[in-house]
Amino acid sequence: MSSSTPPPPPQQAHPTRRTVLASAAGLVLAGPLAAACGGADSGAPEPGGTLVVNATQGQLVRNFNPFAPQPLHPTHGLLYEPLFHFNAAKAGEVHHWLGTGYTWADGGRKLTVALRRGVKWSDGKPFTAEDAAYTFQIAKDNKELNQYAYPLDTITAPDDHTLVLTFTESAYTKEYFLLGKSKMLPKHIWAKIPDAKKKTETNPDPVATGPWKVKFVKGTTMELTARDDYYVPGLPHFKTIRYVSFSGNNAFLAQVAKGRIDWAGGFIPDIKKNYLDKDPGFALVDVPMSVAFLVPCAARGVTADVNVRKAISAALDRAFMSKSVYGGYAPPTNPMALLLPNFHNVLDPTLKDATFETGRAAVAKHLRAAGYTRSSGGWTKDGRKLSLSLTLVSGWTDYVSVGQMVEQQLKKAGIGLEIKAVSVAQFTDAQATGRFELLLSNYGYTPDPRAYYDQLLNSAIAPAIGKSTNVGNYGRYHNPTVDKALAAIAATTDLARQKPHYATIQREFIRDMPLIPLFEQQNEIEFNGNHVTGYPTRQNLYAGPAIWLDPDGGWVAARIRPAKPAAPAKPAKSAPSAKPAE
Amino acid sequence: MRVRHLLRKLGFYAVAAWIAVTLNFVLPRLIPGDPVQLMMSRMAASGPVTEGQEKAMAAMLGLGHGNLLQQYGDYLSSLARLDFGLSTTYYPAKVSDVVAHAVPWTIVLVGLATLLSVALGITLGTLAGWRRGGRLDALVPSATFLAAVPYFWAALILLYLCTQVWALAPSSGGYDETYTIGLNTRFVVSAVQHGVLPAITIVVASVGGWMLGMRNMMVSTLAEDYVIAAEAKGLRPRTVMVRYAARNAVLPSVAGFAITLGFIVSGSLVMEIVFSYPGMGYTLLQAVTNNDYPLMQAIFLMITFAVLVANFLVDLLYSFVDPRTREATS
Amino acid sequence: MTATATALAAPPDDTAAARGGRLRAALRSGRLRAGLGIVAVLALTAALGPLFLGDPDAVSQDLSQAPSAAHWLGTTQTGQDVFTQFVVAARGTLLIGATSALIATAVSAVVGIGGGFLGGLTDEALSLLSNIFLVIPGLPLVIVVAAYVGAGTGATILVIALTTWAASARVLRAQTLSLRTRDYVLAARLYGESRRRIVLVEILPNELAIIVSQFIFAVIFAVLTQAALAFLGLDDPSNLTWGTMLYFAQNADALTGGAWWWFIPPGLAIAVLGAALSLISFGLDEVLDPRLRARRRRP
Repeated sequence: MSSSTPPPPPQQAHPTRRTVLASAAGLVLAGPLAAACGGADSGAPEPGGTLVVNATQGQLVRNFNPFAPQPLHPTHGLLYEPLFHFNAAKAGEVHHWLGTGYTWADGGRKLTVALRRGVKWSDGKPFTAEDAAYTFQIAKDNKELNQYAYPLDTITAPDDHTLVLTFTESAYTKEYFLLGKSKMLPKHIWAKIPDAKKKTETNPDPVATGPWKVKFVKGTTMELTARDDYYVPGLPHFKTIRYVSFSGNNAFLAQVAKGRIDWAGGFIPDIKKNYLDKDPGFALVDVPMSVAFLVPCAARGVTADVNVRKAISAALDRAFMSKSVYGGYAPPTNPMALLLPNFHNVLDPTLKDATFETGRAAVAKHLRAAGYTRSSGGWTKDGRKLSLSLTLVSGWTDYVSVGQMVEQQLKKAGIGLEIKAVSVAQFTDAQATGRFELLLSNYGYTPDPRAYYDQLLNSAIAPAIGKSTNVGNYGRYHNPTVDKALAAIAATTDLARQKPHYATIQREFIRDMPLIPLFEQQNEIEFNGNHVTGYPTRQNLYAGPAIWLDPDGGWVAARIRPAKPAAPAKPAKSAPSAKPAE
Repeated sequence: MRVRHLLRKLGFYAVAAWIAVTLNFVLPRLIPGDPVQLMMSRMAASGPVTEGQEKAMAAMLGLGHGNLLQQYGDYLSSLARLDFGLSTTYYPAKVSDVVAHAVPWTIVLVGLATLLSVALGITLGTLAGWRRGGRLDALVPSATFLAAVPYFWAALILLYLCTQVWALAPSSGGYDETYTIGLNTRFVVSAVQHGVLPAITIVVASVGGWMLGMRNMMVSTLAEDYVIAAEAKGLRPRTVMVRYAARNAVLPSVAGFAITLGFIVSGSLVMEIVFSYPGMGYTLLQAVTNNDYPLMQAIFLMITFAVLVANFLVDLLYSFVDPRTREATS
Repeated sequence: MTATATALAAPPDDTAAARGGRLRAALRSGRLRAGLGIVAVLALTAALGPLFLGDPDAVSQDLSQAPSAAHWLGTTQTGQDVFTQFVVAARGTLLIGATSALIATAVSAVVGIGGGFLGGLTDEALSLLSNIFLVIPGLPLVIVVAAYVGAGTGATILVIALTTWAASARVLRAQTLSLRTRDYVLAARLYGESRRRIVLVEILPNELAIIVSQFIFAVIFAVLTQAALAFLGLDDPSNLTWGTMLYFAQNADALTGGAWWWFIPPGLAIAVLGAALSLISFGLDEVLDPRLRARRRRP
């Protein structure tokens, strides 16, 4: 069991080629824009009124079904809410959402959750343990709606504010999903829909616990209005959220540069010149959610040799890739591929300054150790030249550029590389079946470091080459020490007891280099500081800063505040005011 | 005779339609990899995916029951009900709902631009043919050279010049997306503003073809006896040009152009992509980048059928007006 | 854009002297000479240029540099030399253009001449096929096929050929139908010559002019289609062509970022190539049939 994270494809809806590449970085656009109604085209914001965000490209189709693979973004986090907030940007940080406490018992086979009191569905009915129990009952009764494969046994609600789940096996590894990903659904609505139809319902008028109600969805715009009976007093700060979806990156760039989007996550080439320098109020928050790797096939071929993997790594100039392809915004990662700052709590302190071994001498050392000899044409072994193929997605142009650089850098070191640029479908197929020598992809998107390493390294999830998997460990890496450490981490929820095992994994990662880490995948989120404040920053990472992030986007949307109006006249307390600005 | 001709034509288009439909069925079955994996990998970008999800997804998409023949039968019958299935990008929204948003954009903009281009092309062609060897006529070969310029390249340069260098037009897209679609002034004004540049590029790119066709028909019509006779009668040149020559030349040139309808469609697809104009072409590219096969196929079929129907109508019209074609078919 | 129906072909005139005269006449045509000259320069560049230049993918520290003595056409965002790419891309572009045009022309010759000559049910079936391919809109088909088949040079060539052959097949069929009833063909039949011989010796040579002209237009069409496909991201980006150059340039926002030296040359080169080929075609038409000067029309 574990999470897997395949390549970072288009987030939702309609990325153009350009956004696909942006979302190769796993991003999507997000951003709030002021200018509600009334105002002239000047786009003058109305502080306290409307938050303008951009989360997608292409048209918006009214679909708020939490069971759909990609419903409209507000579905997860803004409308439907989970029990707890697991900070995607800081592992180990958990806040109350619809739950106020939980305890594990029975070695991970029993979970008791205390639910918040005084919560109302958006149709006025109270939220109770019945609803929570029903939510998990759906998963238990329907295999295809049991998205996270919970091993559920019994589901009970001893009182209105307590939920008790028992499992057929230890469910520690499901903690994040059970508490942080599963959204609570109203029983009085969903029980009326037969299970078989739950997945094909577009659920146009969602009844949820979140602080927003859907006002309209039209073409490429959508508005949500704040509920005045949200259970956290004072939240949300904005009256309205307006989602704006663009037809392409150019349109997005034009609007974001004019300051008409308050919260966005689009790809902006040369972001300093094209965005940050345009207005002192514009801010960029860049917290990587994944790490880009060259994934070697660890089970067969030349890359099964650790020395070859290390030689490849030593031949790379990561800083130059970052500078030329990403303008310096995707810095080289660390040799244990630990996603930082997100997973800082499990970092092995002795490794905090670890760097990659690079240079011609290192390449030579490793290749000699692997039995290669240097000749004029490159490195050979048993009469065969060392040459590899790298599979990547042809539509992700930043990766194509990275691939070309890898090719150039390996060539200088005497290693041949052939680039196979293929369609997403072919790439996914190669990745799933393990039929590749090297892959260029990125993995992450989880606040749980165990899940992160599990998807990269757990040998239990890797089938034989030729059999397909979508879960992870595409290189078919096998290391009993790592497997044991992962199992030990899964057997407890006590961080102190997990830490030594995390350290083991990190040291094994450096020693064996099962994947060749490249850089932190860029994940640029833009905020227009003239209109909003209180958003997550590197200094105050209270949640993942991207609006498309499920469910962190919702957590932030409720907490982000209008910036103080520039005009002095306004009374200090008037945060959300319906009054027009002038 | 006429009925037989009609049936023959109808038969032809039916076969063409069947081939397009079948092609559409066969292609996805040649795809490497499977849609479930694609969906999974897409979902992984917004959060971790688990093993259970894969099975859930396969069950959800209802993939592959029955043998190929059964699948083909199911496919045809759902097509007959105009049921294109569910879009994978917008799952579980229906493909037809997604397409419905795109169609009006294409019809209004491409329709208007094409009408403009036809009118302009026929007028210019008439004049060029009438004054053969004149200044206008000398321009005709250059129209052919224009056809060798990659449309998207030229359009992008134009877009760059008009939006960034001179700020004459709004940036790409169909309207200012920060406005709400509807009958409000801001939206309508911005939609019109956004339409001007794409429309101009369509007209520029296609007017040459219309002009050339009309010009050539004029040249050959002008050699006909009845035109010479009309001239000999001393009718005003204008009358001869419009009433005698152009009137007879226009029909064949329109019919001749029916065959190039496919090119017009293709051109407008690229236009929408270049300008990110939210019509069918743009939606098609989005479907391609998102690997949304049901959506992609529906758009392909709809475009193909539109072209087939248009061709059929032109054929029909033509065979009613010009009896000679009835013999000349095949 | 395909197709120039030179339906009124020159009368058969097979003596060597006549041919030589035609050739001389051809070379007197300014259009033809200009066209041939440009195409020759481009072809030579494509054939020999890459030998004198380095690796087009080679990156350097000179990121997004404007044209200079060191980099004649500047550099890309990743520090690659645009001029080197441009020259190497000429090879890729011309190869794809010529190969798909060759395949398309061969198919159209077989279908068009075969159908026209054989007549009967074969002809019915073949012309139905070509009419259908003519009426199904090309680009959406190419996009859908390319999306399924995936990016690859071979696939691109086949896909382009698949959507190009029909128009010229129609033209060739019409021409064959008219040649079939000419006296010298009938005579050959009476002599009992084999069908193959009649097609190869009597019919094919007399359609050569049309075939060449169809081929030229097929090249233009193929180059444009390939550029469009590459631009849409549906061609193999690691095979350098002017189309893939434009794709990368556009993805790096070359034009809006001011790097015109990266975006302008490939498109301009395609336009020049297309214009040169059109010139050749015009020139040929003029030479072969002066009447066409006034009466060229599209099918």
